Amino acid sequence: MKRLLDSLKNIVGPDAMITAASELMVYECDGFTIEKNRPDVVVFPTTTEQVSRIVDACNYFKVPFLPRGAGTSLAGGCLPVGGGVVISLARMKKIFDVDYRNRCALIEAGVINLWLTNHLKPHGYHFAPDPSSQGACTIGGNVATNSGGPHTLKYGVTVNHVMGVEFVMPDGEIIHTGGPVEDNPGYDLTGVIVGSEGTFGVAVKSWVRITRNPDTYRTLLGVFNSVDDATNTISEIIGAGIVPAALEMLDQMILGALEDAFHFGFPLDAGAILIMEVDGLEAGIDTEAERITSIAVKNGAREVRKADTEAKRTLLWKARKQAFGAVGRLASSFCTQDGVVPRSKLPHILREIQKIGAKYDLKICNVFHAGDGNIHPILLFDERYPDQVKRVLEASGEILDECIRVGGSVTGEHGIGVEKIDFMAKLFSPDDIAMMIRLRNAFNPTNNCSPQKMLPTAGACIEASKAGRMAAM
Amino acid sequence: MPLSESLNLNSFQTKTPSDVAEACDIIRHSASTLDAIVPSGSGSKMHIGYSPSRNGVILCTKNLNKLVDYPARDMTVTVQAGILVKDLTEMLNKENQRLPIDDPYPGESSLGGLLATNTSGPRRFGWGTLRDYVIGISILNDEGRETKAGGRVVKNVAGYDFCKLHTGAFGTLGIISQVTLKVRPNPEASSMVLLSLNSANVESVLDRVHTTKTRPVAVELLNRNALQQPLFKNLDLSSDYCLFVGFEHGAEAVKWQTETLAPELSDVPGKIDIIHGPSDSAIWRNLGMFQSTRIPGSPLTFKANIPSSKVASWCALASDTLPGLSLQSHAGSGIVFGHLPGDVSRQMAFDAITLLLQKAVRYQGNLVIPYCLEDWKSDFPVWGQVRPDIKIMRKVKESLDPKAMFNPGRFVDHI
Repeated sequence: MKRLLDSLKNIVGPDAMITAASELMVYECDGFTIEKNRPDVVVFPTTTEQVSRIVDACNYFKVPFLPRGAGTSLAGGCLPVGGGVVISLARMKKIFDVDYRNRCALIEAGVINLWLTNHLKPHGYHFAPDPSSQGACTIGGNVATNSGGPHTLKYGVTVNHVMGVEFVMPDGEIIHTGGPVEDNPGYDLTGVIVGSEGTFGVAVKSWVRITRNPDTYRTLLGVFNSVDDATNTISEIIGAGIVPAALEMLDQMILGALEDAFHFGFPLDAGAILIMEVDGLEAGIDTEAERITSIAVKNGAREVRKADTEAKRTLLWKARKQAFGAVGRLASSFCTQDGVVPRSKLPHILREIQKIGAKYDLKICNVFHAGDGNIHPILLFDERYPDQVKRVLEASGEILDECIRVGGSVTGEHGIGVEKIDFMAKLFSPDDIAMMIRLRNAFNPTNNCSPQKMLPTAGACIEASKAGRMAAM
Repeated sequence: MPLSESLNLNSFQTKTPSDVAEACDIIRHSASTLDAIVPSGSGSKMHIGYSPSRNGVILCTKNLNKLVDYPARDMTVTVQAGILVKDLTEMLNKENQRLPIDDPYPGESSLGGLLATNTSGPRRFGWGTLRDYVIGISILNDEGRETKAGGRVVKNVAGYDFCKLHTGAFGTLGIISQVTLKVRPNPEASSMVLLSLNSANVESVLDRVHTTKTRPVAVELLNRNALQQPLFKNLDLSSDYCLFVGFEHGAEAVKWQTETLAPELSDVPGKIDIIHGPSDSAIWRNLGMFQSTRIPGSPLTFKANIPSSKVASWCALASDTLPGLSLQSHAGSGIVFGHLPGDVSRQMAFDAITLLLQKAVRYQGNLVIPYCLEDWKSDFPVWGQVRPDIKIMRKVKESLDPKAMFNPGRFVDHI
């Protein structure tokens, strides 16, 4: 290890690496805190060439490595299983080239999602994927996990907005896929790299598509007495062929925490609220908003409020996007799940979540991307009590099993990471997983890059609970 | 086009399995004999690419054409890949929904073929391409097993995204047997604004359309030769170029945009026409079909991909190089299709294509040849200039199709 550390010091310099145990603690997990493992070293390269040399050194000394952005992911994607080298891309934060005429930009992996949108704002553009963590998460992390966000209902997820990458392969070679021009011939390598959770290599720079800002918005707040009424509304809006820019649901428990934190004026006695936003041209937008309002009223909304000033809209979205932060008011620990169901199955899955919460004696609140059918039940617990951790894991498993049973998936935007490896065999057949392993081997044959992530390894089927150190067990 | 006219497939026997199990048997048998497998749907795009590098069978998926599931309220549909796009369109239309991808061979294309060739048309500017709509895929692999990736929900990041990998892979990584798509509601209204242009104005007008207050879903540029083709002859346009700007939205939004764009461009010398009508009207269909049109005698059709900002200058260079060229550009997306004139010699064509390819590559794009005379394929850059990431593509191919069974030699760099 000492020789590796010397090599890394030569590459990035002593000020760009961390080896002290107290500092490494920050890097022992991401937003999924149930499992932890400390890396041996964290390095902070500033160029693609440095990343390539770091990878060469890791390979030479046969030490595993994995890339990391801001560590906001929620499934253990940047958990350093087996230790090794964490390559933090946090210092690669240049926005190189924004080409407004061709609607694309070249940026480094460490650029914070919201910085890019703020950079583009004066020119009337934005970067469409807007995960709730957009104030902290990096574009490199968005690329690795194929991030979503509230507005992906209309605008698509990260992969729909990435045109190419500069990429360090697990053998240290630097390659470019795609680029600023659409339709280059050959396989869509960019398309499979996005969402590969760092298991194919290190995406160092990305060509991303930039999107014109809509002229206007109508942001509505539907207030419902019951979760059922809210979910039926969602189902009917989508069924009516309306594609809102966002359609988000919050239940009563989360509303209380949000109101304490943001003082928006949420109705605390409501069973659920829906944030329903349409955007686009001024022409016709009121008609669309009225159609949505009448569907909500028909389905039992007791009122539909308008966030009719920019300040109100901004506060509403701030409250929504920082909802997870407000959960701290409800419990000392929480586990956010990320299931997906066909949109017409939302009423069913929310009823099931309620039942599962009662069965395991856990409080579960809900705030999620309802328009996509992407649920985020938040299971509240105290990680100091092993029994609670156990119940949280079992309840999470039951919720996700039910998502699979009704034709959905166990992750809409957080990824498999280490948390959900066991679910891969429930979603996919051994033949399906074998093809995924073959694809990974094309990029990462030694599996030295982000080992034991995403796919159960043949012959050594990893169990999520063994991946790292359990926080409370 | 009959297969025998397009590729050297005379010695290939066509097998048309009636179900997936039978298709898997054919693959397993070919794996044991090391025969090549050339996937085919309806056969409409079999002229594309090189001839296979060894003999084998054509595996025709036209009977794998069943509807599997269409939960219209979820706005997804799952079908077998051999279904004709026209049948899928008809089915979706009954629920007032659609897949907003232009089919250049209406009535002929299979969905699997459209997907394998990543075909798109004018609407790609506003609605994206097939990679944005495929959310689940089933593939018959090299071992004759049906494997799947993705799922049936609109948002899903479990596992690697084989949907992207197989879209545009030209059937070289396996046979697409089943697909789940996101679909969209039919637009309430549509319109097309036509603007006749002199060559000198093209660049500045495209720049202005780029910043228009309106939100077009299609920005199409056709040159004079293209406008003379039967598809557009009834429009009676004879200017150097014509720009077609298409809108598809709610009725109020379409009306406003149509009324806004025309005055925005009123200072541009040239005639402005407006065509109202449904989004499946002839003008949209014909703009989508131009790329697949065979101009009598034309020996070659190319497709260039360049930055949108370079479309005007690149088209000018192309027209100067080959004055008889018929050009259409999806100008908002930087895609240019060109049909060479019938009177061009092989050498002239080769020199022109070489020049235009170099220019496209300088702009970080490329140029491919979806159609040319079969004996020209030996020295023309059918798949454009090979890029350095071909190394990774080869690794992917070797890993997923180690015996090189699927469409061997037909795609990029004879992969």
